[in-house]
Amino acid sequence: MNKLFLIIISLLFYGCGDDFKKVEVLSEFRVLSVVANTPEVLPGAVVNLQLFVSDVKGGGRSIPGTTVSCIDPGIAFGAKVNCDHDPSAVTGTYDIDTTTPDMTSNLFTGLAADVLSVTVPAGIFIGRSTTEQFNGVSYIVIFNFTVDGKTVSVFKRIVATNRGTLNTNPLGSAVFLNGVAITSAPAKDDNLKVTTNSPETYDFINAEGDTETRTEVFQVAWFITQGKFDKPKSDVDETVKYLGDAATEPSLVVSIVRDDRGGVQIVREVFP
Amino acid sequence: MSWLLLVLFSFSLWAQENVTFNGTLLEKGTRKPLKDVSVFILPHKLKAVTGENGKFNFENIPAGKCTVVINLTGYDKLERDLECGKVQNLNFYIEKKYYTSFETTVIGKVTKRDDQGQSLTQEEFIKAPGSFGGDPVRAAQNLPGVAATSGTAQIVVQGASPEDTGYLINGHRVPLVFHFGGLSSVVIPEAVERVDLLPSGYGPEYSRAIGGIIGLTTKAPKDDRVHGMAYVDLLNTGGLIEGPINNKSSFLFSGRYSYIGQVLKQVAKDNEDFELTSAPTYYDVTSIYKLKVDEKNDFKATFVLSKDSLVSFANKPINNDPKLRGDIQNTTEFFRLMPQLTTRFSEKHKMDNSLSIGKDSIFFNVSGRFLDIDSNVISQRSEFVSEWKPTYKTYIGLDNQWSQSRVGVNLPTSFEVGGVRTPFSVGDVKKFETEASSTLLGAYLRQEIKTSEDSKWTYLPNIRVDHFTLTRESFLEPRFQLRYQQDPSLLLRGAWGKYVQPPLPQESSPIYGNRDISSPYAFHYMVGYTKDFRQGTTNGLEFTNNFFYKELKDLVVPDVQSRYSNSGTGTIAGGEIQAKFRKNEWTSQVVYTYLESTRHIPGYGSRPSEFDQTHNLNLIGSYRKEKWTFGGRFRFVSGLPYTPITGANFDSDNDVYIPISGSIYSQRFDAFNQLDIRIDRSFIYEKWILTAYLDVQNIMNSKNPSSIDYSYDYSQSKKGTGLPILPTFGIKGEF
Repeated sequence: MNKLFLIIISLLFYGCGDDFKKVEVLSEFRVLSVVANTPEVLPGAVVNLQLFVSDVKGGGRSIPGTTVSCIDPGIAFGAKVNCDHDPSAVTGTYDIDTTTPDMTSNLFTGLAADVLSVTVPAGIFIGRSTTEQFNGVSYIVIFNFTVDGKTVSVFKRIVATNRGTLNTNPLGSAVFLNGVAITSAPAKDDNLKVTTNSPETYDFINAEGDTETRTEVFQVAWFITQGKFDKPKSDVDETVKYLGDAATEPSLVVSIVRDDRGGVQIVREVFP
Repeated sequence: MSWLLLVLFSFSLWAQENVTFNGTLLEKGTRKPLKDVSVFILPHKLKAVTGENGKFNFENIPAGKCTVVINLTGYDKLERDLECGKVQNLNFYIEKKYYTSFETTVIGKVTKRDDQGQSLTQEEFIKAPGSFGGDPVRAAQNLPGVAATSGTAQIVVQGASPEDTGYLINGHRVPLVFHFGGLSSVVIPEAVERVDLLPSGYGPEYSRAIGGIIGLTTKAPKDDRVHGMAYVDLLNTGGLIEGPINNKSSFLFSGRYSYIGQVLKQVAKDNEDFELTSAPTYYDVTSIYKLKVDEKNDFKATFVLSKDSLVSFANKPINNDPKLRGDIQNTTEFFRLMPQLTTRFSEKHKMDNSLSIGKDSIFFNVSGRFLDIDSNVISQRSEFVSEWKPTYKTYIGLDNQWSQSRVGVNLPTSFEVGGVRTPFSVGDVKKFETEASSTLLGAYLRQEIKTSEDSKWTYLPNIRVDHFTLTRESFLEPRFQLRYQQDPSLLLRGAWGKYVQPPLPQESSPIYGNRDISSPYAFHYMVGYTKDFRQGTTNGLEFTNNFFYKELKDLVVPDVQSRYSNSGTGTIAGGEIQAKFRKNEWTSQVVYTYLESTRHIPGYGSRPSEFDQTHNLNLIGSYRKEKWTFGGRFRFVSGLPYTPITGANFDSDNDVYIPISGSIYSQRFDAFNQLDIRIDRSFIYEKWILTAYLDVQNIMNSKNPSSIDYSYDYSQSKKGTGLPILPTFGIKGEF
């Protein structure tokens, strides 16, 4: 706790790396999210994955990448993000082409056309407790790219579970600017927020072995090509303030809603 | 004719009336009675000597003009013209040449049991430069083997982790000795008699700490009259009052409140990232009651209460960790009531019994993720001391602790190796509520043996046994100490012993840790000597030199499979010197420690420990001139090791980057250097003393980096600086 206090004090006195690049500002090549058509599945199911990328200053290009898939080594418990432990790891390729019309017309930001199909091993539950089988065993897919001399590595968990009702991606997200559906780029001090459908509820076996019903907690990540936000992350329905000047050239606002269980929905708005 | 002259002379003597004159001699400012002091009356050349309460009396002195003269070494000379016979019962105040702060309650010389340790008296720590207004534990950082950490006052004893050091008040364990981040210790300095540092090879009285022991001992309240003290400075205000209740008992009550929160609130006002919902604050209360029950029994009860509280709101994720955002609350509170009975059966047989009854409360919450602990804690110590013969003395003791805790948790699992932590957002969230109890039983036998009364050797074959119910383990801890007193000025010593400590609660938790974890232990080895060149005077050089080696076994380390395991080992080796030199108004001290502290974790190899600081140099000096005291401390310490981050993986599900560690603790921060100064000016009035002080920490504004900030994807970094120049101005009044 003392460490947290010191972090807080240092934030107060020294700021938070103000000269660092802002997490919400899009310019260099980034993978903003990995979207699965079904974030939760039964063992043996096939899942289709697509990357949502941004390469605003890339000018349109082809970026080849590799993939490797395996059972989660225990990343939540500190394991390194790799598949070195799993002899059954599956390798593949994933190429991003930002010259496609959809990407080019949207500041090189959008879903990559390539779709990676991943088969979750049918035997993923072997050796797992009934609690783990119910709460879910993760199968991870790691994507690696080398862009402008830098390595970009991103991974996604596909959750295999016998819970019964499987998680789906959030639906119905929309971005509002000063209370109305967004139609233009934000100006200084404009307020933005995301609304979406209600979160799902799901059963979970807790640490004491009891089954409890939990409700998803949505979280929104905000991105923009110009200016900045007062906070780059928000809750759904929480207002975020735009702090930059009004855009003088084509600009982009992206909001990504995550449901805390691997589900994701992306809203992309391009202006003018 | 001669007959007539005789008659006239006799008549004249009869006409010059003889009177009685009495008074009381007191020290100016403190009103301390001064006994055995010669008081002269001129021009009659009469002399009286003050008694126990400073009173003196002249009889049959001629009435009329006279001069009282008092000339006592260490005090300003007093000459006062009076009309003898017209005034009686006068108080005479003489001013001492040098006053220490809080002069009214300074205690005597500390009696040390363990030669391996070091002690600082109140007189020493209250004016120590860099001690942040006389804080005893921060002043302990001036001692050999104690390392500096930038911006905090974590106690790193001889390269051990802070959690490997035990913190005691009156011999009983407390959860913390510092308020937030090491701003100040939890007991007001003026209520502390001394602070003890036991770094290695210490006796069997203490255990459950493989690194070392820091112990505060509260003072006995004064019983001569009512004394008081109050102070105010930029961060705190506090006060103390003590005095007799009746001829058998006395009391002390002190309290302190910090308004640092108001300062921080002003700083945070323009910070768009952060909002302090409620100003952080801390306070502490210490009260002491002393009763002389009878000729054999003394009773003392100490009550300590401490609370730290912070409520804030983070607009942006802290450290780019999405779930470290929103409401943040951190409250730590504890109290201890510590009754203690000392019974002297005879001059050579004594028994101490003490209890500590208290409660610890910790509440930490970040946006609904929380840790809530309430613990009732009782500890008990007993010690029977017996000097059977001039050559044989024993100490038999018990050291037991019982705690009952209610724990509520809703937190993600955490993994940290080499100071690089898996983000909060990535961990597997565990939510549960549980109750747990823990009993720590300990007993010891300490023996001091000489082969003959005039032998220069003292042998201390000691033994301690401990039992921890949580891990279901029992330990036999042999310890051996050896002393060789060559002559009054030269003492040689050596020690060896085994030390055990229970694992931390989170390490042995069946949910967060590993219920099969066992207790880490260590072997300490040390040799050293002290040579006093002062030859019985106060001026001159005192030199201490120690060498130490610690072997650490079964260290608890993170393990991906079982969360924690006992597969860590380590060694700490080093040497330290302390040279104290005093000449009249000057005192100076050179303290230097060289050490190598390494750890071995399977899979990560051998590497320096997080607190490996190869060189640790302290230069301390002070100068007194009349009512002024000037002090300074310069510290130079090797930079702490850190683990470089070579890249990061983006966790798409949790919207956070997970850092990739390079070789752990393979890099070092730049060396730490800091100059602190302190200036005190006392104003002595007849019945009270006012002291104004200026304490400036890091007057050179050295950057002293001790942390690294990273951009959200770890591709950019910059070193965070330590505490900037920090002046504290305050005034203190005491009577």
